[in-house]
This record gives sequence, structure tokens and C-alpha cells, in this order.
Amino acid sequence: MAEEMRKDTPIDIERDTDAILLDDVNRDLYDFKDEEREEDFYKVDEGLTPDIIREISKEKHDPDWMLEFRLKSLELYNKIEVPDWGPPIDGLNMDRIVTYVRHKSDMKSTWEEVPEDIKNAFEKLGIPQAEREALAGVGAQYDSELVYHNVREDVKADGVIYTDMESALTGEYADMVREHFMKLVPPTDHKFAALHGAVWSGGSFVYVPKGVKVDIPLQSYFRLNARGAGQFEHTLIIVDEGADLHFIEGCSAPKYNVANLHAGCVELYVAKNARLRYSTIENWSKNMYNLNTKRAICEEGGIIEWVSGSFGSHESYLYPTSVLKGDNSHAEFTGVTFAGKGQNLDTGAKMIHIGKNTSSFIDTKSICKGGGISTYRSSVVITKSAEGSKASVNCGSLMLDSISRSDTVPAIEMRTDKADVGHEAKIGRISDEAVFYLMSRGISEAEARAMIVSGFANPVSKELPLEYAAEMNNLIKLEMEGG
Amino acid sequence: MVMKESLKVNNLPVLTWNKLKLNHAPLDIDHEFTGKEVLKVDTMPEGVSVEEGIGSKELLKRFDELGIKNPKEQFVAGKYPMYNKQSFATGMGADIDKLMEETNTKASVYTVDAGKSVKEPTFLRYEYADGDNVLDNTFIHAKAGSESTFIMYYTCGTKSLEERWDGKASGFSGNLTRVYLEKNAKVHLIKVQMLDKGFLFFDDIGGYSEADSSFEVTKLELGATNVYDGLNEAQMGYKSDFKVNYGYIGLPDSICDINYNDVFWGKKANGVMRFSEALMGNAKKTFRGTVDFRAGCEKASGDEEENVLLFGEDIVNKTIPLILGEEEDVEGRHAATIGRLSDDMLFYMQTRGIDKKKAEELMVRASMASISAAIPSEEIKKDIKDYICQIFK
Amino acid sequence: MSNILLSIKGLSASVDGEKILDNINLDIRKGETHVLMGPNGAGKSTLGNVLMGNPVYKVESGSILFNGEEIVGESTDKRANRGMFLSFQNPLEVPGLGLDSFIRNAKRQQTGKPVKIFQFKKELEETMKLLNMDHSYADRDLNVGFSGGEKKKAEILQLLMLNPTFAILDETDSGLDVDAVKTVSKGVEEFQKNGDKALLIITHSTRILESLKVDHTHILVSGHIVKSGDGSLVDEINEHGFESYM
Repeated sequence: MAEEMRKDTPIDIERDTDAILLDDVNRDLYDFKDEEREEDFYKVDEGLTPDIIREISKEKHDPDWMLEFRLKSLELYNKIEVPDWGPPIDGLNMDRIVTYVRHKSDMKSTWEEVPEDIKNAFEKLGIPQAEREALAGVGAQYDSELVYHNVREDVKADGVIYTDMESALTGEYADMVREHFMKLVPPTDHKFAALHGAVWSGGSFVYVPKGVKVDIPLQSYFRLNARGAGQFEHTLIIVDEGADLHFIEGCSAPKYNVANLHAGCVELYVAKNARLRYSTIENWSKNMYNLNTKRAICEEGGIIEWVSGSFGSHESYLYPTSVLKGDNSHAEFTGVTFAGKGQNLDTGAKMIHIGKNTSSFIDTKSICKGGGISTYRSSVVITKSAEGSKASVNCGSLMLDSISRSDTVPAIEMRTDKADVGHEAKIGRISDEAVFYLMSRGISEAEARAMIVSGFANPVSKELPLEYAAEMNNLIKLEMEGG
Repeated sequence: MVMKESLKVNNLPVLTWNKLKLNHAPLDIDHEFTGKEVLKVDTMPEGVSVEEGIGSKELLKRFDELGIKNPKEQFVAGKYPMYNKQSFATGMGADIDKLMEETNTKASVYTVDAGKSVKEPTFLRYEYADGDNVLDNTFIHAKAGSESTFIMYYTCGTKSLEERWDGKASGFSGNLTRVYLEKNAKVHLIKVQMLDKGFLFFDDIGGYSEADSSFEVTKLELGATNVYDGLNEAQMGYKSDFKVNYGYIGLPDSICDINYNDVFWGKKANGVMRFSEALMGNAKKTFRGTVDFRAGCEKASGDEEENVLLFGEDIVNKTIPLILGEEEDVEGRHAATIGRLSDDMLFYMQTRGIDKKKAEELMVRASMASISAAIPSEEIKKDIKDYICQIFK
Repeated sequence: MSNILLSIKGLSASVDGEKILDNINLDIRKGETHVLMGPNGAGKSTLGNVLMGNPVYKVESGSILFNGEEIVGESTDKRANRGMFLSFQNPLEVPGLGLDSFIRNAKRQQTGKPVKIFQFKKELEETMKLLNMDHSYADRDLNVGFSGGEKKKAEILQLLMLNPTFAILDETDSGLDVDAVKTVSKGVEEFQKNGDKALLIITHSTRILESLKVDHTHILVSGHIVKSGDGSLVDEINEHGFESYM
């Protein structure tokens, strides 16, 4: 019986192509399919076998330990069950996912050298432009590999390392990478962490040395362009004692009528008294299964701040985790999720308090519309050792119609009496009075509703740099208009 | 005959990470149910009548005839399909129905006459002795426009706290209580449990409310080290009203597992659930509380609040308060405050010369007193007061 | 001979790292009534809270002597049991805890002895009568559903019942109508009658002071006492406001 209940809501591509095309008109900005020629790309066969893993490893010139790591992860992947909670993922047929796609050109460090077709794709998304304006460094990943990487000279001079994972594996910091790689998110963690361990490719390595404060953000942009492919980038950031960094991650993909998969992994190490802010605007296309794992660990006095906007994908499982290991460490999670038609977005956060006097704050907003399902899911765990800790959770849901669904599933576990946890959640709709009030000032109803929704998401957008806040509001407007 | 099986109860309506062990609770049965009569009817006022010996199938037939039927569960991914299994849903779930059927536990059906306002409470006293393993199945049918109060009081007789907690007496008290409220009916269900330490107590409640009805549940769990509590309320009718006031004191070694669901189907339905708990020593408690808005329950309002005071180095407190929304035009809220006495309150108490320990005691006593205030029995109120006084002595 | 009850020396305090009180010096003798005035945000309530030991505020430096003994660092309940009292601007609500039972518990903590019920009830009844409080309030839950005026009366009731030697009244007259101010003043007068007591009245208006004897007035601006004087300073403030001190 339970099995029957868990049938996936199919993407409906085959049956409903026209509707999807119509839908896409509104998403031109992100959903354009890049012009590309098959012969320019190298890809492995569909599906997952030890041979495919060996092929990927060889293609990527992995060190030996990495090949071994991949094969072990594959074994785990085959053993671990898919989760029995959350959005159903049986629409995802792993035998048909292409795990590795690479453009047959090497990574470039000046924009002019990037192949025209890829450059066009990123230009449309405004990536190099953003770099010129407000970033300390940019990495751009196209399908499975980074195609562009650049860091500002002054940041480099401070000793900040920002490079692609592949170079990091064999470069100057190889030992540091090996010491940290998938230690925070081991492949045993869950099925898609195991998958990631087996087929990961691309992503970034960042190291900020002791005491260095990078005052403008670093950014990395991921685009999955190949049809029926997976993207499995690995991001490893180490912020050393007393250092400070803001890292921004953006994702998008065009829409194809087969499932795409994103199973990335982000591992963040925040040393004593260091601070890291990790911001994400995720806008994968609506055929994407986004099964991403993000985790941070904070040493004494360390601060991790997550800012997260989830707009895209068909289904998402996304719960950035903060492990507050050191005394007096602190975590904040601010997130907004907008689930529109055909989307089932299961997002939230996890906080694990271990050190004394640690504190965490979760503030999230979920919006659903047009039949979308948004689920806020979290867990706050205060272990016995975390005396004097404080945690607070605040989540709001806004439903824009009654064909959508919004669930709030927050768990709290306390194992000491010397801590305090507060939790508050609310669900509701746009108040008619508010709409009327705005309309009485001459604003159209649609505009008024969009304004109110943007206001609802404001706690998130105000945490983002200006250009990204604008992008987020743009996405909200798009979602409000579509469907 | 010894029953031996492992039940899966208190299923979380929407599943989450298995690691948290919140998705359901295991209830291991390894008991010989004696069928002994532990129930004494203290008072049975005019306007209330009882029929005994109703078998499980007969009871189901009656639900059917009364038109009690939880609407079919809509397809929702990752949800526990509880409604497919029970036509009259309860908080602990279908396994309790199964247990009643397998043990051939006959139900008692209490009927409150239509239009009758019964002021005096129907007082059902369940008095347990060492070794009693008893199941009870009760169905309360409140006919249209009736008004009634039911008290179910579970004790091992009057004893001091030391005697209750010396671990000498043990037993099993399993209870299933369903309440059906017809239009305009009003029921106040009061349950107070003060069994000895060695008891396992489960209390599975189902409510089904038609239009303009009002269902109030007052509940105090003060005894037994092993407690399972479930409740499912289906607010079917227009403007039905539902209220829960729940109190729990977890003495050292206690384990308590709670699953309360308020499900809104009818328009303008209103539900408020308040939980006050205190955990001491190494007490462990799991609380699941769900406010569930179904499509069509326009202008419904659901509110749930849990306050937990923790007083023990080895306590484990798990809380998962859900809000599920299928309907846009609703107001839902839940809040939880878990931990120590708030700084403001502690400071206020201290400015009057009351120290921290005494302030904590006063807060626990106050929260239980504000729940027991609604119990129309001086005897029970006094028992509760004496009991709490002894805890803090 | 020292009849100094409370002596504040060089007291500075902060909240969340922000300095709110700066080098406060003040002596209060037995039998005296002091008034602390000042514009909103001057730190008046902070002083009351710091004297009483609210852990939200951090004492940066200085000392507070009560009956010649240092009390900085001592917990609030111990200060209360030394004979200090603070009436709250916004008293807290406790559902399930009766007003009478609360006062009885506080008295028991104060004396360490059980309270004689009959005598207590009689005293409570008389005091409530003095404050024009309906006797039913004794059984009601502490501050739950009380109006603003009733809450303030309940604070004064506690003041008279617990009978401290030094009381701080924090904005006790704010938000009250004329009759309620009169009743509260009557309660405070009753407290003043005993010559050994001392009062610190924190207020930004002067209504409560009309019928009370005031010995000293202090004006607090931005965490400093900028002027001290006798009772007549109240009238001056009444006329000219705080502008000239800011």
C-alpha cells in the first residue's frame, strides 16, 4: 500500500509538450538551449557501472586514491536504499543519466578564450558582467567541468586560493584537499552522497589563509546544458582562523524533456573565529532532480551564514547542515523557496549543536503556487555537551492558491536541560486587505500580489548582494506571472 | 492467552528522516489480557445511557450507519496513508483497532440523548491493581444538540508518591476512546492518569465533529513510566470547535510518546491545542503535533502550542510540530518553547525573593493547575495537587 | 552614625556591549524618598534593573552597597530577601498561579517559615481594600487578564505584603487613569509611613508625585545624573521639561 502511495508525479513531458513550451516562454532567460555541436563534446555512456567510473577517473587524470574512492562509493550507492520520505524520485532513471559530459577544450582564465558557444550561454546569464562589477573571482562550470576561472590579483596576493577541484587534487594543496574531501559528507551518508563520491566532477576549491578577510564575494556559476545529463560538482571551502569570506553560487540549466540530475556536494570548513557566508540562488530548469548535499562545520567562535533561494528544479532535496562543533560557534540559515507548477521542493536546514554556548537561527519562507508543493523540513539537535546553547526556528508559508500544497516538518531534539529552543511557524495567504490597500494607491492586482510576495521573501533578498537580490525579485516576478 | 506482537503506532502524518526516530513509535505487546473489570461507573447522569459488549465488527457497522467516514486520502508523496486503514481515525492508528479485534475486546457505547444538556459529568473510574492487564474500548456518541462531560480517571487507588513510585506494582492499561459529535453537540472529555510507576498506559483517542459542535479534551498524564498518547480529530463540519489542554509531568525513568493531529475539513473550523510538559531526571518524551488543513476548509484556523520545561541532565526531548496545508484560505500557527524558565520570568520571580528552584516548582504547579481547573471534580483536583506537592517535596 | 540604606558608587552598566549607565553616584538614607526623572531612553529603568540584579545588564564597574554590604554579583532573589523590591513596568503573567498563592510563596521564601494562613488572608484582604482591589483578584491567576491599572495595583499589593525596606517603583503611574493614580499613591504613602523605609521612584511624568513627600530629585540624561536637587526640582521639570539638560 505504502509503495503505491509513493508514485512520482511525472514531469509529463511526453504528454504535455505544448504546455511546457508555453511555460518556457517565460523562462527564456534561463531555459534557452545553447547552440552546440555534438562533436565538440566528450561524454560517457548512460548509466552507472565500474567501467564507466574507471573511464571518468581516467579521463580526469585522478590520483589513484581517488579512483579507489570512486569505486567504493559506487558499491555504497548500489547498497543504500532511496529515501522513503520526501518527494518520490522514481521518475529518475539512473540508467539513463549521463554522468560525465565535457567540452573538448581546456579551462580558460581569460574570458576571450572560452569557446563561443559556451561564452554565449554565460553572457546571456550575465556572468562575466557580474564579475567585472562586483566579484573577487569567478568560476564557471559547464556540464561536468569548469570552463573558466579567474581571480582578482589583489585577492590572489593575499594568498587566497580559488581553483577548480581537479587542479587542487594534484596541486600545492593536494594534501589539504585529500584530508578534507568528503570527510564532512561521507559517501555513507545517503544514496546520493555515495553517487556523488562515485561520479563527482568539477567544482571549486577555496582556501582563505589565517586572518585574511576577502571583502568582496567569490562566485561560482554552474550550468548544466547537456540533455539527460547529471552534474556532480564538488565545492570544498576552507576558511582558516580569523578569516572571512562570502561565496556565491548560482545554478541554471535549460529544459529538456528527459530528467536531468544534480547531485553536488558542498563541504565548508570554518576554523576558529572565522566567518563564511554561503549564498545560493538556484534556478535549475524544471526537469531537474536537485539532490544536493551541503554541510559546514564550525570550530570555536566560527560563524557560518547560509543564504539560500530555491526557485528551479522539478524536485529538490536540500537541507544545508551546520555542525557547531566549537564552543561559541554560530550558524544562521535564511532561505526562501518558491514552488510553482510541476515542482516539489523539499528544502530546509539542519543544525547540530555540539559545543558549549553555541547558537543557531533559522528563518525561512516558503511559497507555493499553481499546484507546486513546498515542504519546509528541518532538524535542530542539541546534544548533551551543548550546554548554554540557544536555537530558534521561524518559518512562514504563503499559499497562493488551493491547488498547491505547503507542509512544515520541523524536528527538534534536545539532550540537555541547559539550553533553550524556540520555534514558531505560520501558514497563511496574501491578505485581501493588503491587496486592496495597494490597489487603492493605483497598483494593479497582479503587481500588488507580486509586491506582497517579494515583501514576504524580503528577509532573504536583503541578505543578498544588490545584483542577486534584484535577480531573486525578478525570479519571483517571473513565477508570479507564469502559469 | 498471551498476546505477543510489535505494533507500529503514533505514525507521523508526513514522514521525515528515519534517523530522528520520529516517524512512528514501536509498541511491544507481550501480555495476557485478563479481561478483568477495572471500570467502576461512579456516576451516570440522566440523559446518558450505555450499551455493553459491542464487538469490533458491530462497532464498525455503526460508524458506517452514522456516516462516519474519513474522506479518502488524496495522493500525497511521502505521506503515511493512515486514513485508508481506519474509517474513524485515531491518533495511534490502525494497529490499535487490530489489537482490540484480536483480543476480542468488546466496546461500550455511551449515548447522550439529543438536545439534552447533561450538567453532571459521567464519571468512569478505572482502578488498577498489581498485575492487571486490561484493554478498554469506548465509543461516545453525542447526539445533536446534546451537552455532556465525561471523566475517565485511571488510578491504582490513593497512594503516596513513594508507594506509587516504588516499582512494586505493574500492569498494562490500554484504552481506545472515540467520540462522535453530531451537529451542535458539545462534549468535554477529561482524562487523568495517575497509575503506578510499573504500568504501561496507552490512550488512543479519535474525534469526529459535525457542524457547530464543540469538543474539548482535558488531559493530564501524571503516572506510569511508559505512556503512549494519540489523538486524531476530524473537524468535518462547518464551524466545529476543538480544544485540547494537555499536561504531562515526566518523572525520572519515564518515557512518553505523543501524537496529536487536528485535521480540518469543514469551513470555518477552529482548533486550539495547548501542551504543557515538564521533564525531570532522565525522562524521555517525543511529541508529534499536527495541524492539517485539507482542501476546502476555507477560513479554518488552527493553533498549536507546546511549552516544555526541562529539569534533568539526562532528559531527551523530541518535538516535531507539523503544519500541513492543502487549502490557501486558512490561518495556521504553531509554536514551541523548550528549555529553561525564561529569563524574564525568572527575574520577576526573583525580585519577589523567590529562588530559581522554587520558581521552577511554581511554574510547573501553575501550568498543571491551569489545566486541572477545568475538571469538575474536587476529588481529582485535590489528588493532582497533592501529587505535585509530593513531587517537589 | 550611618543611616545610609543604599549607596551607589561609580556605577556603570551595559547591555549587549552598549553602555547605558555611566558613573552613577547616589546615596539613599532610611526614610527618604528619591525621584529619578529623565527623558525616554535615559537609562532610568536600567538603573532599577541593575540595582535588582537583572542578568540582562552587565555591571562594568562600581559598587552597590545595601546596608553597607556589597550586592553586585548577588542573585536577584537574595537581594529581594535582603529587603529590596522592584515594581515592574510590565508585570509578567503566570496562568495557573493564583495571586494569593504567589505572595504566600514569596513570603515563605522571605522568612523561611510557613505562613500562617488565617493571618495572611486577613492582611491580604485589608491591603486589597486599601487599594480598592476587588477581593476576587486574590484567587485569579497572577496578572492574567488584568488591566494595566489592575496590574499596577497588584504590584503595589505585593510591595505592601512583602514589606521590603527599600522599594524601586518603575513607571508605576504610566498608563493609569486619575483614580488609579490616586489609589496607587495611597498605597505608596502607606509604605512611606514607616520611617525606616526608603523609596526610589522612577517616572517620566509627575502625576504620582503630587500627593507624595519627595526628599530628593535626580535627573538622568544619557546614562548620567546631570542634576540633583530637592523636591522642588520636580516642579521645575513640570514647568520647563528636560530640554535644558539635554
